[in-house]
Amino acid sequence: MASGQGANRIAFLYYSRHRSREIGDRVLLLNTSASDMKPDEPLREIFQSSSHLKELYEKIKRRRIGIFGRAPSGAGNNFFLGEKEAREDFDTIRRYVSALDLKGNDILLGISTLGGGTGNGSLPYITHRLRHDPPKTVGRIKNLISLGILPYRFEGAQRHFNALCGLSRLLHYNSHQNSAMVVLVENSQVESHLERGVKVARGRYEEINREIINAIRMLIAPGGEGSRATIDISDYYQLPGSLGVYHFTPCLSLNNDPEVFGLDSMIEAASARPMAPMDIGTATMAYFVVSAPQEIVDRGEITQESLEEVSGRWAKENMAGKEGGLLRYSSLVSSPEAEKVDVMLLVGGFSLSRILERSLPHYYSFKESLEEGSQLERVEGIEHNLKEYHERVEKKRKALGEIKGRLT
Amino acid sequence: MNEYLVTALAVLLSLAGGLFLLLEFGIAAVSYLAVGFIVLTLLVSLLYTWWKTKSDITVEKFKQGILTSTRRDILALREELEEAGDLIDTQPFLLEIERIEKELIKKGYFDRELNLVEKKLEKKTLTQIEQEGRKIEQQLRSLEGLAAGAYREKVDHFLERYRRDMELLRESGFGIGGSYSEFTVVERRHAQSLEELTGKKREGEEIFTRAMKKGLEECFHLIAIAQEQGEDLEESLRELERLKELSSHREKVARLVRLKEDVSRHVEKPFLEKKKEVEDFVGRALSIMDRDFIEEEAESLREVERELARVKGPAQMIVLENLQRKAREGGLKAMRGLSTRVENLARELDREVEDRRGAIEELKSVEDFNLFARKAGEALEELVEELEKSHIENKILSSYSKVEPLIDKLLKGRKSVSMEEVKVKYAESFMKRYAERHPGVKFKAGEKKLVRE
Repeated sequence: MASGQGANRIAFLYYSRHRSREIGDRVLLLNTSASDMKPDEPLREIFQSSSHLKELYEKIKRRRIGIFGRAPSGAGNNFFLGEKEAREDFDTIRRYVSALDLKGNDILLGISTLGGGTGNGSLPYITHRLRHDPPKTVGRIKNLISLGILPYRFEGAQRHFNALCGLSRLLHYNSHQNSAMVVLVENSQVESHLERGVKVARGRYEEINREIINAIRMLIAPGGEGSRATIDISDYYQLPGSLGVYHFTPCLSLNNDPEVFGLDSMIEAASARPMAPMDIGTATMAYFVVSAPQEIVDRGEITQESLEEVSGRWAKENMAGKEGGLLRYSSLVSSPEAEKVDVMLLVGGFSLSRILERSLPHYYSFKESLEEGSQLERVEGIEHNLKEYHERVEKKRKALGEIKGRLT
Repeated sequence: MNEYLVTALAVLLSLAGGLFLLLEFGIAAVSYLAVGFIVLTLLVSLLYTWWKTKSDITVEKFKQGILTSTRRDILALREELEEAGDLIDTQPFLLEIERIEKELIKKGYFDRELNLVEKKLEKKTLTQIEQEGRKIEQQLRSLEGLAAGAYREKVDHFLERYRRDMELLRESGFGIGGSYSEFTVVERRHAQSLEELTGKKREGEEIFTRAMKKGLEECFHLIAIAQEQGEDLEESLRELERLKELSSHREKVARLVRLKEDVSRHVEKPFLEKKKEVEDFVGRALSIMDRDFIEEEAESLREVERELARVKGPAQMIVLENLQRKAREGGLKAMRGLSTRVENLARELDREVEDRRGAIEELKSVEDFNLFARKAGEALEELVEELEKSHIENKILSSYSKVEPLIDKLLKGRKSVSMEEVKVKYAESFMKRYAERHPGVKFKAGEKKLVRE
């Protein structure tokens, strides 16, 4: 479920070039402005490249694009407006969510960029409604994970203000934990990992979006075919939720040549490429997902046992606490088509300081421009929630040394 | 033509009459109507006449067509029966055909040479001719069915004997596997009509003749090899000449097999020498190419290796010679494939591309197999070495962006990093590249360490 223009672009790119068997065409694009939903502009090249893609686009447009709001003309970077439109026209959103035909164990992944108005305003509200106050026709959706994309470091004050408010609202809404899990990605951070040639050849935005799609693909890989040890979706969020710390970021190292890298160096390479600014030494949770060519797995060069062993060793050496964090899962997936090894570390519970230190000065400067009134009061509440969450994260991390043994 | 002339005159007269009436009496409308009616009537008459003439011609042609087809069927069946005459008694069938021909001549449809008599046909109606044609067609079909029934069993038996002979040749080491497979396909083919049966027999005979010819050539070749070794095989040569003249294929095959067994004893030494030469070359080439990154290029030689294992004795000398040829081709194919990969990798690594194709093609003209084997082995060694080097360089190039942050992390706050700490394959090459790209860092080759200056 991609809300807002930035997330819509990711969904279009997924739909046109990277569709997976697991997700299929169950993609929902939400926006308040019909003009934002014209992929012909940003993705002209993609959709004009073949009649098949044009046909596909028409299909998405009919069944999977929902324009909501009473006066749908875009939220103009104002998340209050994006949230208001979602609240007032929730019935439209409900109809499109129903059409996704979600089954009991399905996961609903909400995506939004956190710098804007529509997605950033609506996604936390929609998440809250679907998880805690669902309409009868849809039913409660517990497995709702959010993927929030933090703005570029060079962007203006309002976007950083929006981002921190969006982050806070995804984590906490109306005195509840909101998303079951919040996956964070920062545009500048992802771009810094891209090779110069790749950026130029394919365009920086498309390449960043492609990396985000890769992270989603790896996130759901343990539930798909060829999985040696399944990480259920509940494994992703149940324990973090009960600990009250449930933010994560993916660290990706794809296309590793198995002739060059061993499992330990692949994990090391992935850990050097977190998709959000963070210090891995502060992380308290990690999921290790490795997708390897079938023949390598069959030859026993990479096994579930060796992954457990290497990931355990790596966690002890690199994560917070003597035992290598609080929580660790690993899953090996074999793929007959693959020639290289893909590795993702989904690292969680890390200190948010690096994210906050980049956005807070902008946040405060923009907050000063807000006039006294209900909006400012609301912002104070949002800020309080984020502070509280941040403190909880720090407390957990510091207390880690006192917890005896791992919980898993 | 007369009808046309009369009709045209009638039209002209009518028009003249109409014109006269018009000028004389001046009742224009009535006159034009009358003239129009006359013209129309005449036109219809014209059309009728044309159609009538045309259909008469069509009927005549149709009659001729039926009888021509009948004659063709008679001649074709006669020809097939004559061909089948070597296995069954076709005399009664041919007599019946003769009777049918005579009857048609008597009725005046054909002359004695079985040419159509067109004048006679004009007096017969189309129905009469059609009935005649149908009657003869049925008679021919019955005849053909009877003959095919008698012939089928004989053809099957005939081909079975040929097949047994070919099996004997094959088991005796003659390289006729391809012909044998082709023969069995023909033998299994369902044939219903006399035409299909004669065709099946003819094809079987042709294949057998080809296989036999090949067998004779192989035997001659074996004799030539033995003679090169100084053996006196004049009598064998004379026997071979006598075999060529024999008409009984059974005897021909039995004597050819005996002759080959006899000659093979004289070529044991050259056979063993040649087999060793081929085995040595294939074994060496495959061991040179025994690398993880080489698969497809070695396939042809692996196939030769498998076939070589099935070559047991000097009776298969010709098979061995074919394998020697295949080993040469396999070696050249491997060299071409490896050379292309080396060139492609050199391009990817921005290196100068060395053209080796000329040297490889020159090897084709080296006639002496031992010399070819030596030179090809050297070329393969060089190519594999080059490929391995480029292969590793390419891996380092494509994986460097992932290894660099690992070395960054290891060097953070430290003065040096050892090779053991960089836990990737080809660590030394990655470290050298790292040092080239980071001015403050040097690679100490002796200690195999990266050192911060």
